[in-house]
Amino acid sequence: MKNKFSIKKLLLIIFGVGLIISLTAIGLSKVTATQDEAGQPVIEKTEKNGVLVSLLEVSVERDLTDITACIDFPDNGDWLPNAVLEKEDTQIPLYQLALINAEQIETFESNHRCYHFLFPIAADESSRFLITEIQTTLPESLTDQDCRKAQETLQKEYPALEFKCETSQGIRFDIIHQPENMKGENINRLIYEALTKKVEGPWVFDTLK
Amino acid sequence: MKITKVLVVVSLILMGLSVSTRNVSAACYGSSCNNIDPDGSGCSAITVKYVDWNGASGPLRTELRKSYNCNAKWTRVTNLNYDIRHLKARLTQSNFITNVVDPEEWYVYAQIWTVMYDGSSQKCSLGYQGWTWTDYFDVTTDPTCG
Repeated sequence: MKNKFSIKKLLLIIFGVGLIISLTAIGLSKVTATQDEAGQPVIEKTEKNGVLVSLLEVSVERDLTDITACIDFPDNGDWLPNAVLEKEDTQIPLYQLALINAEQIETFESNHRCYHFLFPIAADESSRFLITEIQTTLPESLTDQDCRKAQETLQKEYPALEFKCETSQGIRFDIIHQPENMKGENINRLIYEALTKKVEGPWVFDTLK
Repeated sequence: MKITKVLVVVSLILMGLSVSTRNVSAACYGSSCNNIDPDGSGCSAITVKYVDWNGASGPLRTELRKSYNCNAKWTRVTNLNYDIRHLKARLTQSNFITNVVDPEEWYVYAQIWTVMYDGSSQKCSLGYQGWTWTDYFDVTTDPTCG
């Protein structure tokens, strides 16, 4: 009787420990905020088209501006932001983008990601930081089916358009037939747009103090 | 006793589930990914760093890609207009000199990538671009490491 009780107790302990480990591991895949943001106050937040962008830090050194900002993407897919720095009516394109906490799997699993946006110019108080749009990238595993879908989408506007995707450790779009009303358009860019998801901004931060 | 048996079974299922959520359909992990093309590998990835550069042959982006379910890294180089160019992609050690995989070079692509390499340590990505009809590299991006 005593033995039976001990086995029961032992099994209950094993179950308890197993349950804690399992729930912790499953729960980790649904983290929505990085430790980085938790430890850093938000300067300003702005939301547009359901996407929240938080400005955390602006650091200016000689000819370089490093802006730290976090984005709540629509999902945890392969999204990237496009951004510019406006200074005296000139738009300076982004030079480098670096994901913060890139070594943590939680960053990959979360839709909340923080970045260093690097611009090759020193921002001043009149400068504005704009995230112009967020867009998914083309997956390396792009399929013929993905391309057929994109062609069908584009054919609604350009019925005569025909192309195929050539993929072999790379991607290119082979235009089989280019419609007359498409002359002058950047067809490759249009195909790329049809193959990816995009949310238009801009998310604007006026004061970079 | 019957309840405890049920509890043990439930516990084992949950433990199995927690392990499986970390390695969904990964074809390889770490060094076993060396020299494997990410396309078709089941290694889903995001870009951890990129650098953009502009030249006469157009805008070029060099990305350091990382797959977390495979713990692997690779380089991806893209003409941002998706025009066909002469592209070269390198994945190197942190000295930017020693290649960890053979460079990938194509004359007729808008985007190319290298094969994968173990993502445990820092790696650097370098990209080059030129016109399709020559082998001259008009744009060379700075190394992007991570």
